[in-house]
Amino acid sequence: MTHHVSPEAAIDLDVVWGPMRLDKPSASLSSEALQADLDGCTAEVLASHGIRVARDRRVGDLGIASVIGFTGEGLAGALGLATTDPTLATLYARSMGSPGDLAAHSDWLRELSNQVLGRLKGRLLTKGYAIHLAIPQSVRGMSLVPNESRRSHIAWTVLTSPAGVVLAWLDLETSDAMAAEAGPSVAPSESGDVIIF
Amino acid sequence: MNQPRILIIDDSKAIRLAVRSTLSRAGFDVIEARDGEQGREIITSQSDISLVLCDVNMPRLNGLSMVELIKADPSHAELPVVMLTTEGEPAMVRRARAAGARGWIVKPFKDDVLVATVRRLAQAGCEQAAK
Repeated sequence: MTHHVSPEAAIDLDVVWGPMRLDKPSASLSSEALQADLDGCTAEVLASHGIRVARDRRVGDLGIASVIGFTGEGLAGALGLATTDPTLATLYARSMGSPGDLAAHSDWLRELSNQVLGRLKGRLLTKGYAIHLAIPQSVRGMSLVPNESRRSHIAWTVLTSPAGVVLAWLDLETSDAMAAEAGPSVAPSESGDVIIF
Repeated sequence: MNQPRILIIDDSKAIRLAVRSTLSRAGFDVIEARDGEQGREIITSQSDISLVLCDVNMPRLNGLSMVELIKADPSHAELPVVMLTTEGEPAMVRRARAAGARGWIVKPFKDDVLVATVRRLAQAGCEQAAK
């Protein structure tokens, strides 16, 4: 079974994200910007592990996902990374050089999601938004797909590799009580950077 | 001559495996801990560690807190600790430096960069371990 997801449908949300309204939406925290950041961060992390991907719109029945929650000033959300067990096994073997087992595959998916959100956090910092990351958790299930009727799915990206599809999505909510306000822009260290003190 | 012993502390087995593979090929002896608490136990019980690579976000005891605890003990003042993390937030980098960490690497890392950094900093740790 194949599901078609439409990132553009989420982008239509624009100012209203999820069940709550963002009082003072920042242009730099627009759905379009987040979508672009999610696309870029996911593709870049996969590329750094030797996995070349292309954008796609079709998602099959995904069976494993890693989810990391995050919070910030006026923000709360989660990043998810999902794929199928066979795809994950192939990508793991290609990147790690050994077949691994189910536990190793889950662990690696958690680490990948951590790297995607770490990179995304850096991009948010440059826009003045600081978030704190939780520990990633993985879940297995059947037919794991984004729920298009849930308007809190503000961005997702489907990437196709030769081994199969990888889906990344970003849930973000803000509250009236703590409307997201951008702080000063911060230049974070980026992937691969080394700082010697 | 003994190989310099490197402790990798990370809750991701995949990262521990990748670091072990990379550093073993470069001639280092690698031991592992799965979180900050276990890492602290190993550091306090083994005196032959030349350098510590430490993740930040981990269960039980996070990496920054672990470095602060370890460095509060003068006997570990010279032990080089390098943070190896997906985080790049300047406030966290400053906190690690203030605690006594010697470096910060943002994942995903390049093998040659990791080896060069470890080789450069492990010498000081070797000298401390020899004392």
